[in-house]
Amino acid sequence: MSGDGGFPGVKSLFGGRGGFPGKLKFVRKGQGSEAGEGAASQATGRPSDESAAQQGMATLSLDGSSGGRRPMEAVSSSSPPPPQPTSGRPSSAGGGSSSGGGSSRRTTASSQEEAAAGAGAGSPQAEATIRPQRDGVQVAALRSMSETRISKFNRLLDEQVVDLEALRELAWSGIPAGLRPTCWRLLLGYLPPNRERRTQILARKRREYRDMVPEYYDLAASGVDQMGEELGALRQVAVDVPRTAPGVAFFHQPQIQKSLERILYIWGIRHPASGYVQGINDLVTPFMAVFMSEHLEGPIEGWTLGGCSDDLLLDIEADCYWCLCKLLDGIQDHYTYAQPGIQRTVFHTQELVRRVEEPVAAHLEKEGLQFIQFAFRWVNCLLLREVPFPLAVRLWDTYLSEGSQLKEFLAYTLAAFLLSWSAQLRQLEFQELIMFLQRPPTAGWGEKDIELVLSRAYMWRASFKGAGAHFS
Amino acid sequence: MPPARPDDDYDYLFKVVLIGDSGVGKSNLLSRFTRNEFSLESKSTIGVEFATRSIQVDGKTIKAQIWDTAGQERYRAITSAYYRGAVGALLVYDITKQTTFENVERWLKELRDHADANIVIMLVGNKSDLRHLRSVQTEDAKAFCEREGLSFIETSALEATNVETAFQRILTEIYHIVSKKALASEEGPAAAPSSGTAIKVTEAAPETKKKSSCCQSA
Repeated sequence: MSGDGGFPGVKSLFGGRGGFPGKLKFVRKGQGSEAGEGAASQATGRPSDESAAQQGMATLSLDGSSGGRRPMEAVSSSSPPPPQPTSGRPSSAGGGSSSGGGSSRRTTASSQEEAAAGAGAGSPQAEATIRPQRDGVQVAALRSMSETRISKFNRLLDEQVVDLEALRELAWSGIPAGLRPTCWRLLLGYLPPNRERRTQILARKRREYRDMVPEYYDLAASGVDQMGEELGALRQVAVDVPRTAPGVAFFHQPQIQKSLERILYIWGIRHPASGYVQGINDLVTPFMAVFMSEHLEGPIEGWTLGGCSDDLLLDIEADCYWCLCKLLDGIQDHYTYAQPGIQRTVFHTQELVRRVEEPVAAHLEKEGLQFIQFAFRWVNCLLLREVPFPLAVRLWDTYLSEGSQLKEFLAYTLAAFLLSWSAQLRQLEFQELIMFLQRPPTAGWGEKDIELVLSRAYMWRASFKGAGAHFS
Repeated sequence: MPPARPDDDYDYLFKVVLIGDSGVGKSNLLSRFTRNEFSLESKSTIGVEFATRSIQVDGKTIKAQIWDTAGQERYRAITSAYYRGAVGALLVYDITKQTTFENVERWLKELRDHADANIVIMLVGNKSDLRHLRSVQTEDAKAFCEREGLSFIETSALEATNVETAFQRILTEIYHIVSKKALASEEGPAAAPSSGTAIKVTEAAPETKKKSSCCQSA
């Protein structure tokens, strides 16, 4: 039970932010696979949230003082609740293969929030460092991944056939850097869960990509036999590649620029429904950085390609290409004519903000600010442009763990991202608002900031899901 | 309401759009004009970006609210929504890239389809610093503008050449049209608009007279 005491944290999250409208309340509900039920109806008839919260807080601070780092550890651990800390799989997933995701992931967020509340309540020093805009919410500092967490990953990855659901659940809260390349390939379905087939499949996909390069790219780049459309596509890619991640020197080495150009051009030609669209270039960069990290030492700032053979570079390029394909498969309508997928996500985001913090939504509306005016790019580049590059990689851990749910999850993420500044936003008028949101102040952000956004997004989904009428 | 801020003290608010092919330097023209900044490594614009600056024309404060748009065709469905209510458009091409000049006609059609009929359009040949790479001759562009009834200027956002002039000129042109219309409507048979009301220039008029929050569009 102690491991489930997460919702008080949730309550305190909203209480502290002062933003959550009274009509919707979070009340913990049993072992809850009913994350889908409307939270509003659950709230009625319960004793008092306040007292529940207080009890929870008391428990947590007890835990905090006696157990020391347990809540902190919970932050970096998406694992099943403590009762069976070493069982690789949560009970819910074991009970029935179809029940997986929803309920067990809910546990994840709960434990994160619990940790957040626990850390805040448990350690006064931590309290003191709370920044004003994050009042009431203190996510425990995320230091290096704990040993236990890494060993959990290793245990999963060592299986003959990797349990993808379990991996998703674990990876959602962040993947240890060294395991990231393999985990991403698995999560995207690029690498098969069955260990025996991996080498063979990887070799085949890489060969397939190598064959595409002359077939599509070399021909177009040589200027022979090209149609107007292809020429236009190549030109567009060539304009954007040098403008990709301008702050990261690694991407501006000639070989990498060439790789990016080939990946993007070939992707565009093979996906004629959308073709290459500006911003997709950004989406390759996390893949490139992570797959390169298997071969280059230290931080990306110091990377050079000196010791990498052309063969190796082509393999990495192939991996990036296929992983980009997998990622974009789920969000294709973000890039087709009129970009309906983006418009829908922006609309959902707006609806969510209205539900979660009505005063902010009302203020934006009063100022005449439309969500599409600032959130379009957020969706188009999956927030990559809005956060420092190292955090983008962390963001990707969660995105890729979401898999087919990513589309839906994005709206929650964007709403949580926007409401990171709800207090400030209400002080700004139209022009200031739009300038602020075009360049949200995330330069000083660390992992804990992005994780706070993600866990709030997670919770909102858990509570709004099924109360789907608001998305009609 | 928060108190009005000093930079919101303006006589006229004009909405202007920046359009043209990708990579011609629209965003750098905007950052040069509004922040006096230039970046060789700026990212591509996704959707639209917004910036603003006020200038003086004939002793009046003109506030330009400028929407910088993505150049790629795919984005036109999104960006064309921003043409509504715009009273000026800077149509930018790159003097070193012939195709960006050839596409100017398509951009004009975009404006005819989506913008107000009276929108003031200025053709801007950017990157004039790259003299050795020039592929669009100034005379050709000038001749084109005469035929189409557009104003024309060549700029370098990098060297900050003519950027100020370009914006100053288009805003002045808009201002003259607006003030003439205002005058005309004051002389009209019906009651003159009382001070403080918006003056109808075109269908979607810019707001006037020291309002603290500006008109939104699209």
